[in-house]
Amino acid sequence: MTLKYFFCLVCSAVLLSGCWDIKEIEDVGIVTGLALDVSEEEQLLMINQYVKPGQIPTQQDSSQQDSPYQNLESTGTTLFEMIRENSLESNRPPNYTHLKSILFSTKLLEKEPLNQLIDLYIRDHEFRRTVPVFITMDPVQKIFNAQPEKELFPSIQIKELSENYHKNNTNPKNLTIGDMSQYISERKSFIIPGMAMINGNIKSYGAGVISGETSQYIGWIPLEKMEGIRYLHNNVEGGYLYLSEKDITDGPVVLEIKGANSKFDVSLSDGNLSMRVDVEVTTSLGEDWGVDRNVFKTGWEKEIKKAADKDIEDKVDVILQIAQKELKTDFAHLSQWARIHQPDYWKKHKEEWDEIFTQMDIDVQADVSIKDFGTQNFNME
Amino acid sequence: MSDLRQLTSIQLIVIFISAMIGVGIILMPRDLANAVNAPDLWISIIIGAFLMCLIATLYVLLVTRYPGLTFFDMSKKIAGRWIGTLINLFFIFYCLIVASYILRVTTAIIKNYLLDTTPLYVIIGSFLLVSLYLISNGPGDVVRFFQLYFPVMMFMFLILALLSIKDVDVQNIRPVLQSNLLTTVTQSKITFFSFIGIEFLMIFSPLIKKKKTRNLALSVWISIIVTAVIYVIFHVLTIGVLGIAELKEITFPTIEMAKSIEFQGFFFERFELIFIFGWLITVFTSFTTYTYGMILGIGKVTKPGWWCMAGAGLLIFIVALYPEGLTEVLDYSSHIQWIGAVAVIGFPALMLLISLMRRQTHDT
Repeated sequence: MTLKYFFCLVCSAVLLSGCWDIKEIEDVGIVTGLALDVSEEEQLLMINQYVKPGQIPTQQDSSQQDSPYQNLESTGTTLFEMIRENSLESNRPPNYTHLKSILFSTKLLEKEPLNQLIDLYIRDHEFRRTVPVFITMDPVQKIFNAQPEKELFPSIQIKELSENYHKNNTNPKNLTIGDMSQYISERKSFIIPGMAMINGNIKSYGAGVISGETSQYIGWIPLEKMEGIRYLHNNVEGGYLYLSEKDITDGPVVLEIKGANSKFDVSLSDGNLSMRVDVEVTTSLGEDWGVDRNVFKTGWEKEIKKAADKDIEDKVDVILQIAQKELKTDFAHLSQWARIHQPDYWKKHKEEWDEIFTQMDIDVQADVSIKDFGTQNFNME
Repeated sequence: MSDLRQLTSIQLIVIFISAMIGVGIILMPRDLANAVNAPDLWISIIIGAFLMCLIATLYVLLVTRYPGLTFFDMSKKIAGRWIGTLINLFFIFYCLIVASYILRVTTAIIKNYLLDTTPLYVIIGSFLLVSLYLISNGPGDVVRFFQLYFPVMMFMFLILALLSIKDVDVQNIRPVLQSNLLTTVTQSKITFFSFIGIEFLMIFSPLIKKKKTRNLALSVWISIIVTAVIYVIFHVLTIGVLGIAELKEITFPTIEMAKSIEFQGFFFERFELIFIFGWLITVFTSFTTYTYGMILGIGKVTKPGWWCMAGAGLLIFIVALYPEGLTEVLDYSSHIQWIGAVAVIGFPALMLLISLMRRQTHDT
C-alpha cells in the first residue's frame, strides 16, 4: 500500500512540476513593430522595435522618462538571419506574437519582390495573419524613431491611424499580412496604406501600388486622389463629401456620408467586356455655408445631389485613370467581378486580364441621397 | 469494467460523429481546393456524404443480419476461419495505419502551434497513453467519454464559425455552380474518405441490441448528414476568409482561419489556441476509436489480454514516428485512401454478398 502511494507521489512530482517549454514573460523581448528597408551597402535592413517595459509611464508616475522603446537595426540577406542576429545585441530573444505593424520602404519593394520578403511572416507560426502592413517613401528609421504624442510607440501609432478609415475616405483600409498573402497567391495587384513624416508627425499619406505580376512596388497614389479607390473596393463606411462654391451656387457644403454601397455589373458584347459601377451613397447635410437654403421646402437638395454625384464620379474616374492609363494594373480588384459575372470569359482570358482591363470601358454612375439635415437650420430669407 | 450494455440512438450518433471528424476538418480544405480549384468545392462534400450514406447502408444490413457480432466475428463466420482471419488482419492493419496517421498529423499541429520545442516522441507518447488508459476500461467508458466531450466539441465549432463570419468575403465564394461539374463530382473521392469512421458501427455492434434496421440506418444517416453539414460550413468559411488561391498554399487552413480572428486588447487575443484545445478532443476521439478497433481486432485474432493493448500501442508509436517529415506524412494519405477503400468498401460489400448468396443469418 505504501508503495502505491509512493508511486503516485513520484508520478505527480514528475507530471505536475511545471511546463516543458516554459518561457518567463520577463525574459521575452516583445517586438511591437518591424520595418524593412535597403541598407547603405545595398543589403536588407531590418528594424525591430522592442518594448522597454520599465520605461512605460504608469498612471501614478507619469514623469518624463526615456522613450519606452528600443530600435535594433540589423542588416543581412535573409530575414531569419537578421532576427537571430538581434540576439547579439539584445539579452531578450524577440517574440513576435504581439507584433502590431510591419513597415516597408518603397525603395526596398522596388528592388525585392514582396512574395519573397513576406515568406517568413506567413511561414512562421509566431506571426499572426492579422498584422497590418504599411509602406513609406521616407527611410523607415525616420518613422520608427518618431516620438508620437498620444501613443508611446510609433509602430502602434501607424496601426491606430489606419483604424480611422471610417472617418476619412482618403485613409485606406488596413491591409493585413493575411490579405496580402491572399492577393499575392491570386496574383492580384493591390495597394498598401502609405505613411509619411509630415512636420514631425506620422501621417497617413496615400498608398503604394504593388504589381500582381512582379510583386514589386510600381507607383504611389497621392493622398488627394485616394478617395475613389474606397468606392471601388466597396468599403466606404463614413467620411465626407466637400462641395465648393464652384460646384454649387450656394456653397460650400459638406455632406457627411452615412453609408455607401457599390454595385458592379460586367457585360459582354461582341467579345468586349464593359463594366458598370453604381455607387449609392446615403448622406446627411453636415455643414452648410449657404444661408438661404430652406430645408423644409421639398426639392432643396436637388442641386447638391447633382454636384455630389459628379464629385464621386470624378473621384472614381481619377483612380481608374491611374489604374488603366498610368500604372496599367488592376489594383481595384475589378477582376473579381468579371470572374463572378462572366465566368466562362474569365476562364479563357484570365491570363491577359491586365491588358483587357486597360482597354475596358468602365461607366461610373453615382447616386447620392441626402436623407437628413440635422437639428437646426439658419434661413435668412 | 464498464456497466454499459446497450447504446441509445443518441449515443450511436455521438460515436459516429466523434469518429468521423478528426484531422479531415483541418487538412481537407487544402486537398479539395487543389483538386477542384473552384469556389463551389463544397458540392463535392455533399456528393461524398451521399456516397457514404449508401456504403453505410451495407454496414447496417450486415449488423442486423448478424446481431451481437463484431466485424471480426462476422468475417470468420461468413468467409470461413482462414480467409476471415486474413480479412481481420487487414482490417487491423487499416486501423493501425489510420490511427498512426491521425496521431502524426495531430502531433505536427501541436508542435507547430503549441509545443514548439517538445520532442516528437513525448507528444506522441503522452497522447497515446491517455488514449490507451481510456480504452483499458472497456468500450462503455469510451462511449461515455465521447458523450461527455461531444458538447464541448460542437460548442468549439459553433464559436469558431460565428467568429469567422465577420471575416468572410462573399466575393470569394462566388460564383456558385459555374465550375466544371465533372471535376466536382469526381473529386468527391477525396471527400468520401473524410467520412470514414462510420464503419465502427460493425465494431460497436455488440452494444447494439435488437434494433430495427430502419432505426439503425436512420441514426447512421443522421450522423453522416450532421458531419457533412459541419464540413460544408467550414469549407465555405475557409474559402470565404482565405480565398481559393490562398487555400491551396496553407498547410493547416482551418487553424489559419482561426488565427485570423482577433480581439483587440481582449485577453484571448489568440483565439486559435483555444480552438486547438477544442479540436484536440475531436481528434482524440477519432484516434481512440481506431485504437480501440485495433486492440479489439488483435484480441479476436489471437487471445484477448493486456498484451493486445501494449502491442497495439507499441505498433502505433513506431508507425507514427516512422515518417521523416510532414511532407512524407501527407504524401501517405493517398496510399491510406486505397487501404481504406478496401477495408471500408471492399470487405463489407464482399461479406454482404457472400452472406446473401449463402442465405446465412445469425441468431443470438
